[in-house]
Amino acid sequence: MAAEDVLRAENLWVEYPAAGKRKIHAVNGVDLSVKQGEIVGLVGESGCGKSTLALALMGLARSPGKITQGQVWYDKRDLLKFSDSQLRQIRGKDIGIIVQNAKSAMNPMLRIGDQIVNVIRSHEELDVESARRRAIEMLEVVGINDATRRLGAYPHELSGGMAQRVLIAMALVCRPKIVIADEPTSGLDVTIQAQVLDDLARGVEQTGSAVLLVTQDLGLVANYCDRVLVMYGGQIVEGAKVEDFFDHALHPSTQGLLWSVGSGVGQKLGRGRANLDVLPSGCYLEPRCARSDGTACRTDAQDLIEVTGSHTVRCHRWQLAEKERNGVITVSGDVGRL
Amino acid sequence: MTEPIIRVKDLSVRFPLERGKTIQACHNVTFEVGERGTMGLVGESGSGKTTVGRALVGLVKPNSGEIWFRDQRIDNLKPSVFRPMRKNIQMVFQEAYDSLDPRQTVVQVLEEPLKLHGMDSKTERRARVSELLTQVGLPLRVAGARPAELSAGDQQRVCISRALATGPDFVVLDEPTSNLPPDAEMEIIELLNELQAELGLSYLFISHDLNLVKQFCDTVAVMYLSQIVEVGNRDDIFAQTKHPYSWALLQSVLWPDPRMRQTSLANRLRLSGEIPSPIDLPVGCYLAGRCPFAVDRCRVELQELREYSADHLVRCWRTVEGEVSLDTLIGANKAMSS
Repeated sequence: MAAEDVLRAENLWVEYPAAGKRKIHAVNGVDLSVKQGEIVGLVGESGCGKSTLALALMGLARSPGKITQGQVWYDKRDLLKFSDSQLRQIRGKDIGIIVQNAKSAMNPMLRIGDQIVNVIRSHEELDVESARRRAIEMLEVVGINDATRRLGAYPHELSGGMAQRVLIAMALVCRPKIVIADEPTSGLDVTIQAQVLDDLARGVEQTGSAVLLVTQDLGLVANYCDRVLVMYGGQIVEGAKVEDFFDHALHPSTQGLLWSVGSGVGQKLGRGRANLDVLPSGCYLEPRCARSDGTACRTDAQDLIEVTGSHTVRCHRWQLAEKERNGVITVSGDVGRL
Repeated sequence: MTEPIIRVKDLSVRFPLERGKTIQACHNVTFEVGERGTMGLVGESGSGKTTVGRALVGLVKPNSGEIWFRDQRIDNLKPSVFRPMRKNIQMVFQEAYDSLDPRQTVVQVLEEPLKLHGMDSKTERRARVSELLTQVGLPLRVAGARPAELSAGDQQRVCISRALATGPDFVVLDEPTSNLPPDAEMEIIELLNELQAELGLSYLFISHDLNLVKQFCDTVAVMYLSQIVEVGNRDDIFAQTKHPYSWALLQSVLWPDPRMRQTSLANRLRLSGEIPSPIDLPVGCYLAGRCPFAVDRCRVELQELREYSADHLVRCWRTVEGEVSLDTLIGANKAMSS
């Protein structure tokens, strides 16, 4: 039997007001699901809406941002209908949150031990001593030596890698069903980055949590994710297993991402960015896309197509991908460049 | 290797602190950069990479050692003699935006080095500025823009064209893409490659991104705590690593390829502890305290760079002189820890 969905979004739309009467359409009809225990990468170029989507999934797309449509199903209930106090019960307990720059996510005035104990005790009926023991165990799982002593440290006394580990421990300590991690290691040194991610992977293996990993770093995706979702212009444009993402990418924006790691695969996109101000009726990527036919691509909206059971793509002309890869068709990388 | 354009011999830089203490930023650094070649200088934050780069362009005065540009020694020149030399040796600084004056327009940024190097005719300068902008792929209309109006990638293009203004033969690139999103990063790398072919440039590429270094550089030096611990051709470093630190660094890279995923996270070679302070340096090999292969001799004997093969130098007596290869050491280490 298929593992159950721990988080599911249906037809989710988020917009922000902009100067004048304009609106920025940041998330445009996203459907996604994350299954128990899986690690899903959410990738896309800067400004594609991945962080806004992550916030919306946690009920944090707040004023002036607005969720105009859609549902976020969490445990058979729509999280978007939750009151603030219901949300507070869920966040930290069932949904763990890891952000980049851990120190600014912590209270600088509180020892880290107290901060972790607070998280535990606001969700579970535990005395301070047992909560402390639980905190120490969790810190050890994520690779912090002499955890007992570290409980007394203030955030500013920790190195960047340590602080990130503490934040991971905080996110995992109530054994959440899902952890949403937005660029959890950007800004860390390379050696530390791998260690912190290994610790995160070990942590979620132990708590059984699923992870939605928001990142621009395809190295993280290749090493830790089971499945990848690609965003462009606030839409999911491709979803695939990690191997298919790297070897059989179908969407031009996915190929643009692969081009940018310089592994010799993928295709450079034309310059420009998605117009989120006035949404086009056709494909959002069309003005930058070398594959466009100039007609249907420009005018007709495209739904996600299920190519195989595990691979979906939002492109009229996805069949061209394999031919492009085999060199039957060459696409000029400079299309759309002024 | 072709004739060297830059030769650095036993370069040491120490920064004074109060009470007679010093920070050792680089110690006996020796390497060569070939004519039209690209040398990668890699290492963690604080290893001394940037100091080496700054010393090459004369921004830091070395305490000892020699720097040669072609057949002229340049580290001991009087400022008045060095200034005209500087036309040939330029630097692109880390953090493009911070290295530009926010009040200057692009044309002012680019004219400044031209004025300093005696291009007095305004018409001539303007013609050179147009040429420079075209060279780095910027439209002429950005000439009147200020840095804040440009994208991060275009700011970096301005910095590159500023470095090229005086027609240098050698350019130090200090993390030229570290703050860019992946697509802009790869565009800059492509540009640097084109410029090198077109203008016959030689580069020192300072980076912590080994995935980029592997694609972009033909020789590589690895720095740890103020010293070069290994230097060689790209393949020596990436396929035939002989220093435990380089090995650990390579193990920590998250390659954007799921086939290169570490089979087991536990197999990743970890260096224990943290990088020692550059103020109180260890006796003996600087890595000994963290190295899983260290024996008594490592802790007492300061290590020199030794020749492993003609172009491949390694600062580790155990792998160069000893009968043991790194592979067997690593095998033994894994067996011990499992």
